[in-house]
Amino acid sequence: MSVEFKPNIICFACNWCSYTGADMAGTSRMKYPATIRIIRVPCSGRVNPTFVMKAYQKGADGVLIAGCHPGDCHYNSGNYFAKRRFLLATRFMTFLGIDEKRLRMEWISAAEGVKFARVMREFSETISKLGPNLRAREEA
Amino acid sequence: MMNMTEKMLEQIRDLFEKKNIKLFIGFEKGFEKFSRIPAFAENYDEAKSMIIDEFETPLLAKYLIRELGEVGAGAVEKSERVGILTRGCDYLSIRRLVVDNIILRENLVIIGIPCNGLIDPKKANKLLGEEAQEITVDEKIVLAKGEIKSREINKEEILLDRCKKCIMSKVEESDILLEENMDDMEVSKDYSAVEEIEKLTTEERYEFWRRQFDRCIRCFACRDACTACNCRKCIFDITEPEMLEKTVATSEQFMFHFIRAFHVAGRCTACGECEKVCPVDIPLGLLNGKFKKDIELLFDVDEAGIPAEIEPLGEFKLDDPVEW
Repeated sequence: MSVEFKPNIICFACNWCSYTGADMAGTSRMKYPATIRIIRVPCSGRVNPTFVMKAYQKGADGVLIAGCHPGDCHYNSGNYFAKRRFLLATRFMTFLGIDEKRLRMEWISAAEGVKFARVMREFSETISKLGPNLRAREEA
Repeated sequence: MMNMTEKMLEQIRDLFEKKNIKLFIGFEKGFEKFSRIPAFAENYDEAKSMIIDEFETPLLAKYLIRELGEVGAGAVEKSERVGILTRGCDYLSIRRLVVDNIILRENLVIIGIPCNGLIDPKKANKLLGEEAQEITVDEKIVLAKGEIKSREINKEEILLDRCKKCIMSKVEESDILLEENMDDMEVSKDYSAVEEIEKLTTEERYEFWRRQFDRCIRCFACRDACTACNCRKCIFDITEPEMLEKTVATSEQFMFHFIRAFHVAGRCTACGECEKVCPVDIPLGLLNGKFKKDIELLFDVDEAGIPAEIEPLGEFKLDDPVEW
């Protein structure tokens, strides 16, 4: 018996742009896969790379971090800090042997409902192809 | 080297006589042959056992947190001073603490000593084929004598691993400099060990680290020895939220090492103390080295091991690389 693999994807969405962008996608009745769970954060700068590791540990197959476009941050510079942090963190996770394709960062503004839906579809597809993440994952 | 010890003792007597310092931190002989341990002296008599030579020494800077760490809270008088024996690597760690506002520079009397690399007695034993009873150092030639054999060894061969990757052999900002460095040690950037792991496939890398991390007993020695790990309340001690659970599982080991390495990213001074104190020999230097290498590559930093006023992850540039 084969069951189709449905990935678990965690999306950290910034309150001011990406979360509103997700709202936009919803109110515009756009379709995107139900494999994504959104966690609202005040700013992409709030996302600690440890959250990503924790997500992998608790069974996430992919993690997406969505924030405002550079220059558009509600707090002026949060997304620049996030960018620096994740430039390092992605490389480090790859160094530890976790597939780099499982972590993705995107800039999605409040008006980009279309982009939000597209990114979610793309990412869900990539993760479906990669299969479940068994690395650094809690043996459940 | 003997006269250096005498010079140091002279300086220490001077400092204590003038009531300049309340404590002096240096090295003395340990219980094992050739081991050197930290020594604390509250007066000149206690300091008489102190010694300077070319054997592996522990890092002293971390003790400054205990002695001077409460300056901000007002527990330490501004006039209370602590003297400390310092090599280039110690100096970087001290600077780390000063930049992090853990201690104040005014509370320190830094006695700088030259360093041309320290000797690892274990390596000498290995080359000799037996336990060395006597090791004498003469410039670049080391004479190791055992019970049966004796052998002349090139000093380069038995240098400590961390000394081969030394990024600071001089003590800048010292208050008293015992001697100038005779010849500067070559400052080299060696990321070959990191690059070797980067060459592996993702699967091989995961297997490699799983094997390394599964040995970890989570004794937190790497944290306790590290000067960059100077938070007053450590995330590993906090149970609410519990970022690190107490379960023995591979995933928790990955969590622990990820958090530890990330928390010192851009702040590590590459002193190699974490690797040295690890009871199960996990190559923590590789993790720190990876961050150091990437920071230098991505953010246009010359030497990420030298503490700057603003650390690489505490700032940003508009022209940082774009990947998304």
